[in-house]
Amino acid sequence: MSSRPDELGDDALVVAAQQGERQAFEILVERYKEKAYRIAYDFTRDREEAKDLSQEAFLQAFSHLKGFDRRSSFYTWFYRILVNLCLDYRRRKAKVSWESLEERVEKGEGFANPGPSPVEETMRGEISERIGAALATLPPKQRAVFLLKNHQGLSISEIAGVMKSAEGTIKVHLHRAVIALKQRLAELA
Amino acid sequence: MSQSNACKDFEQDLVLYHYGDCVGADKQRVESHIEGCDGCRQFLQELKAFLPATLAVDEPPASFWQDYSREMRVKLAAADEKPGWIRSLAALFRPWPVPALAAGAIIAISLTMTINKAPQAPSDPSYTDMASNADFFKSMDLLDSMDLLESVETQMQDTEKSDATAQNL
Ligand SMILES: [Zn+2]
Repeated sequence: MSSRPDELGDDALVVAAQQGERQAFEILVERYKEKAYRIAYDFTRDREEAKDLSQEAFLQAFSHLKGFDRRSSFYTWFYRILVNLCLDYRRRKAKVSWESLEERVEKGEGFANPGPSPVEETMRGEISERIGAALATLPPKQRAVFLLKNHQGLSISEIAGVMKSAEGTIKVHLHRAVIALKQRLAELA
Repeated sequence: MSQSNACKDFEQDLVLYHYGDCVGADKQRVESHIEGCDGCRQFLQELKAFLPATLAVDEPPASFWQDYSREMRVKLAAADEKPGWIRSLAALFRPWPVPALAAGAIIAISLTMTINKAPQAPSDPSYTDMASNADFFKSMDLLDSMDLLESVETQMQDTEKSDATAQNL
């Protein structure tokens, strides 16, 4: 009895993809595209950019799959590629003008409109705007740790794996990021 | 938002406690402390109130995901036809966004890697793949150079600030 390809575990799919089965990799894309997109969206807060970044991460993973030794999970390995790309994006956009973000918020683009009342939407927009501005002021590593924890729900040890840092260092970054955000949001309130 | 002050000794553990990452003896220490400490208790309440609100949620429509998958299949098919080393080479010539100093250091590292690799496996048929992978995995160490970049960026900001101050004087 053979299982359907989309029921195979990550390891089996990686092995198949390493042997030239492109379809196996396409299943991995389907499995992780939403997670990848959401991470990229956390960093970019822009739909098209998040799509491009996450697709680029899949492409890089695909191109270098033969060098992946499977000592970590595919998930951890792929996330490292993606987070690297996201950090690189942050550096390119380091001097991002938050005015353009504000414009997008005013036009109702770039953030979720989950459908509640216009008042709630406006409040959500204002909060998002303030949070976006506060997040942008965090040093890149603090920001990355914060997003991986608060938004992606990775454990401390998973973040340490993704960022190749000691768990103690990750805890310090997370603590500093939370305190800095808390203070900045209080100042902006 | 009114700001509460947690005890400094407990602040980091309270953040971890909020995320469920404080376990064992540390967790017990936090729990017995917050029973008798109003400041730390309020600090935890504030984390609970503001941290979930920092999520930027985007729910693209189904058509977005269909496009996403279709584009990925096209890109993967194209990548399948190009040898890896061509893409790696192309990547080298992309404009590098990091400060010149750090970029130079990283390129120097990759070059060293490539040169060091060369004599090791000249007859290995997978050698070309290995070399391009070495460059790639080295570039993954960007994260490790983040501390360097952050210190360079901080220095640049400090310089800008002191320049501004000097102009104001
Ligand atoms: Zn206390």
